[in-house]
Amino acid sequence: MTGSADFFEDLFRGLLQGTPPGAVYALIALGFVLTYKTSGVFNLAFGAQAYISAAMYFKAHTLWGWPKWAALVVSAFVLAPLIGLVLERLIFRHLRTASAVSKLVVAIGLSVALPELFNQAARFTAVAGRQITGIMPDGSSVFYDPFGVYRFNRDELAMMAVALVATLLLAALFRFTMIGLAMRAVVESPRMTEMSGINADRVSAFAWALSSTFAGLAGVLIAPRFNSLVSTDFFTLVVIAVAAAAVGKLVSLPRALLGGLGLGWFIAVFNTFLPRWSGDHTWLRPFQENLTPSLPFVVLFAILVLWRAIGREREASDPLSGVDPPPPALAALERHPKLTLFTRLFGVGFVAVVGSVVWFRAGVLWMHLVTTAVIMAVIYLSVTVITGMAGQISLCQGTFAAIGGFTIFQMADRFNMSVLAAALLGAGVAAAVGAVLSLPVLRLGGVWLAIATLAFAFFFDAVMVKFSWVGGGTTALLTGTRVPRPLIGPIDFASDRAFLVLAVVVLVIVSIIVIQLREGTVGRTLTALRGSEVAAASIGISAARARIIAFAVSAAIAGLGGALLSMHQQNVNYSTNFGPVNALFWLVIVVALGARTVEGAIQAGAAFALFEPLILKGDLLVWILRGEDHLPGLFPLSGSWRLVLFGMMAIQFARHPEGLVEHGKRRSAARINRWLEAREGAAS
Amino acid sequence: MFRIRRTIAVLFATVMLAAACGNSPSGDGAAPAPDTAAPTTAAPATPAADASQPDTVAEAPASDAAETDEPTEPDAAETDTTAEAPAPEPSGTDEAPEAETEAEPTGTDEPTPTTTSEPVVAEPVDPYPHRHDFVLLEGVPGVTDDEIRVAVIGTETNNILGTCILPCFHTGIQAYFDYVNDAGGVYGRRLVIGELLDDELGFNQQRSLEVIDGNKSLAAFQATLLPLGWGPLNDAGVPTFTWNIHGSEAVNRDAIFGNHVIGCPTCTLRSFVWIVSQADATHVGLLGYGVSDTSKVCTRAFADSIDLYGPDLGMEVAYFNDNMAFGLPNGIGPEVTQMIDAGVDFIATCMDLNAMLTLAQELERQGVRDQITLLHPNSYDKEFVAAAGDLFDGDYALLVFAAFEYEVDSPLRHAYDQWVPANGGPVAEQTLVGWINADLFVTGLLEAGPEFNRRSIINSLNQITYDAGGLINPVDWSRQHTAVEPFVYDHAYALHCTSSVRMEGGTFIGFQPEPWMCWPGDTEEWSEPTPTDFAG
Repeated sequence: MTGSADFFEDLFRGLLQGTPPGAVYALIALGFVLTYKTSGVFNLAFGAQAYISAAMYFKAHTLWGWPKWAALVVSAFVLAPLIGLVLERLIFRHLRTASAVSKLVVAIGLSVALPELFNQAARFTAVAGRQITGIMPDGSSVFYDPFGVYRFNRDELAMMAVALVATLLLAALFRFTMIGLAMRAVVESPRMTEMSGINADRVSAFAWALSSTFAGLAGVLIAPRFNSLVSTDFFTLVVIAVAAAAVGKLVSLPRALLGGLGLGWFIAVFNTFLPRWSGDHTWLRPFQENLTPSLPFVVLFAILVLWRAIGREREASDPLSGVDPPPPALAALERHPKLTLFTRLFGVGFVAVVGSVVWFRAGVLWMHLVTTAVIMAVIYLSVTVITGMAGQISLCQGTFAAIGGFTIFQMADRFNMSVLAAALLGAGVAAAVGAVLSLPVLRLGGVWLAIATLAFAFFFDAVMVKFSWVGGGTTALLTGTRVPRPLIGPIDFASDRAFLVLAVVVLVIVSIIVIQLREGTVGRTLTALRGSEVAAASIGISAARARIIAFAVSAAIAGLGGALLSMHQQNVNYSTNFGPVNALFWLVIVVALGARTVEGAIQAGAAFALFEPLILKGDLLVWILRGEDHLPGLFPLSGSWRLVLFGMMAIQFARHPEGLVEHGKRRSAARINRWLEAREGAAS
Repeated sequence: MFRIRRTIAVLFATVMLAAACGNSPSGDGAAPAPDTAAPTTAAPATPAADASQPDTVAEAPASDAAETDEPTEPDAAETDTTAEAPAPEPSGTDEAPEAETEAEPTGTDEPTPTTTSEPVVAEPVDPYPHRHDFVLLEGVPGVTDDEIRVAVIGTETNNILGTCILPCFHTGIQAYFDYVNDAGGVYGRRLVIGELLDDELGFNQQRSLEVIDGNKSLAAFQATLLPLGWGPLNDAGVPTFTWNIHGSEAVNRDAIFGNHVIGCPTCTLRSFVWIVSQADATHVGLLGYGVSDTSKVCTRAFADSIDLYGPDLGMEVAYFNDNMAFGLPNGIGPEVTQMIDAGVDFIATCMDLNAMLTLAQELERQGVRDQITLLHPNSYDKEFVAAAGDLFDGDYALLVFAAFEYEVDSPLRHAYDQWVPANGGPVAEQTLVGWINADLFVTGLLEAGPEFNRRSIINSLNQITYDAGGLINPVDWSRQHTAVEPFVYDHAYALHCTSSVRMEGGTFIGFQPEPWMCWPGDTEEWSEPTPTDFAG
């Protein structure tokens, strides 16, 4: 009897302990649902918006000494809606009819760009030990114990109250007010809404201001739970909260609230009971050791994969929602033969000149940078396959690359295997993981597929890397994850020049494979699926088979690139190179420059490695101005501007899914084509 | 189908080719061969600690050279005006150049350092009588007739910890250089920070390569969170002085010199058990991050320590969890409840200072803050502790350098207290790290002699034992670059020491009789620690 009483007391305490973090998840999930309902955007930048308001509040109150109310008003009720209005006016107003995937890419770009933009503009950095004080007086030091089991402080009570009240008010807003109805109508069909005499722009602006205000308020309310403000923490919270929002299928506010609280309760109860059970049952010990830190991501992945209703709602109600207009033909296929010839000659000449300069003049730094650019181009070709060809957003390309890196580390460390053979093995392992991963997430498609792959990346980060047969364990702790360079007969690639040659050869081979794929059956199948999965299926195309192939090939390329990068740096450097948040930038930079072409991937690789030293640091300007003395004082610019600029460029994805460079090429080609045709017409 | 077959054929051929290949033996990424990279096998290229230096200088490391030596360079008159200023006191001691033939670490015969009990040398002898000898040098990077230039690389932008890293590290180095320059510099040259580079968290390798490529600096200093550039600097033979929180990036690299060494991360720790005994605790709870191997191994080492020594001292591990989510996003309520249920009265963690704040607040929330003592591994930050008020009262912090709360009668410490505040820096860990790194660099210069170069500095340092004038546990650089396996002390510290402080009223208080409490390093048997002052 006593044991039973203890059990229920522990259970009750666990539920209470899970309530504050659950309220955090609920607040973010509510904001997520609010944004989706009012704009149709799967807003992964919600965390970035919350972070900005939290940072502004911290700066105003803690660093500048403003009163709490003034800091709250400025950060949550002035700055936050202002950001929402700017985003709506400049970006999302033009994307109302864009596909959900396009909007997701835009949101990812913003999630990368906005925090860095704020940090640079406001010169904000994390400050250790200077915890945010919540909005309540003595918020973290005055406790209340309503049940005599567990105490809540004032800030937590305020946060829970806001979550509950917001749910009720927002639900009422959507259900009982005209503006609520109008916001939903604008998302469904802006043109139909306008035909009813409603100003869709104004409604949309109000919706963004409202959801952004909520993001700001949520940021300020949850910030006291962090002891230092870092934007990636907010992003991680958003990923976790997606699970709660998914419970409400992104449209139900009460379910999102319950989903958030339920997630907090589940994690707390799990952490309460599993350790003691695993003490009695040793077979549970591995689960406790490996599952506990990754529980939120496992829950998210499980919800997405196991809950059949996810991902099918929109398609069921709107038969055209899965139909995208076919992507425009590549500029290279449409231009005049003379222009093609000229372009190719120019390309060969450019590569020859740059290659010569690098080969004969580059020092150790530029050799390193160019090699990095080449290898990143290889990795980015994996994005070309999965996003450019298959039209899917995968946010775990960094994980596939890490698999390649860890494979060569393990094979070289344990078996002294040739790293080149190990790199191919790593590509194979990554391909197998990609194929297996694609099986459960295949049916999701669109934004849910992206979120599932992100959950997988976080799971790998939290669990798999810890295994000694992956991340190296104690060996890595003592000597790192160092890997050697390869050796082919008498050719020792320990030399940076020789290794650059190897990297270029790999890039050429992978480029040929990607082009072969694009122009072959698989590529055409994927193109058909991008246009309309239903139509493709009606002519006997197997979507599942094509997507599995795309996932596997993409993962293999990423794995091979990851292995090369590890060889290049002579260390896997997992957290620097392949972490889940780092890899977000990969997608951003590739879609910004061109996800459909090999050139786009190469340009993205070059931008990744060379933009900072050439442009931001001012080396190009120094070369043009013939000396550092003439360099303007604002140089060198922070490398963070790279995130801002390419994040902002990614927001063009909805309008130009072929990438800005490809878009520019098409416009130039069209103009020159017209000129050439006119000239030929006149001559004839 | 033809395309696919062709692609497969090409792939197959590539696999066959790759399988026939090998791995390059060069570069430190080569298959693990610690012995080949270990400094003990690296023959000194130059007679660094040259024969003109008397053997007895090891007994007189605290001599005041600047007052006895006249600079020989032409502009010495300028520096004479500062004759009252404290002179540089490099604190390396010439120990056992033949260390490579000795298996026993120095000092193992004597459980405690005996610098305090050795006879005082009446006439201080300058260990480096050539410190102001000017020799024209050509082709040595960063060295001109007037200056010796170095590069400082560190994390300032995007510092996710929010602590003062690069600015404070830079201040510590600059203050030390000012101190040395004020006494005439080294070999007739001023010490100058020629390159100050913010690696912005993700650009450490690039910044390091810039230093290598530019070839404008004799040495590099690094205080970074992601040390990707240490390998290239080591491979390029650039003496590199680091804030050594990245043990794995330093081992087997003979040009990397940390402010301390991570001796044996998996070994048991008598210092930890001793701290538990100081708190009169019996039931120990241990917490670590699951995502970090460093944190997990640290937590396991704590547990092993209690398992080994606890039965005799009446201690046991009552709670163990090395799977905490980084940053504690879900709070720490259930774990604290379980620790209370398990009767825990002492909690040691391998987590950052922000997590310690969360933990202490949760303990307070559950009403047991005054019943449970915490051991902080990373909270030696005066502002942080002051901001917490009495939240940490009674807790302990473990340090790898002599805490500021202890009197260390070392010229280097006195100079630090004078020059760092004069440079606008806080008396804090990161400025001290920069200061110690700079002193080690100058020690290397002086050991190498007036005809120094990068390699001779590295080789010279790799023959000495260095204690930063008592500020750190002495490091024998002839053998402590090497990775250490559990319970093999050949490459670990000769003495196992700790410098700990207690927290009271938002500040730190020294409670040890001497700056260091030490145990013999060649045994893992329990014994009471010996109070030690390396400064003598």
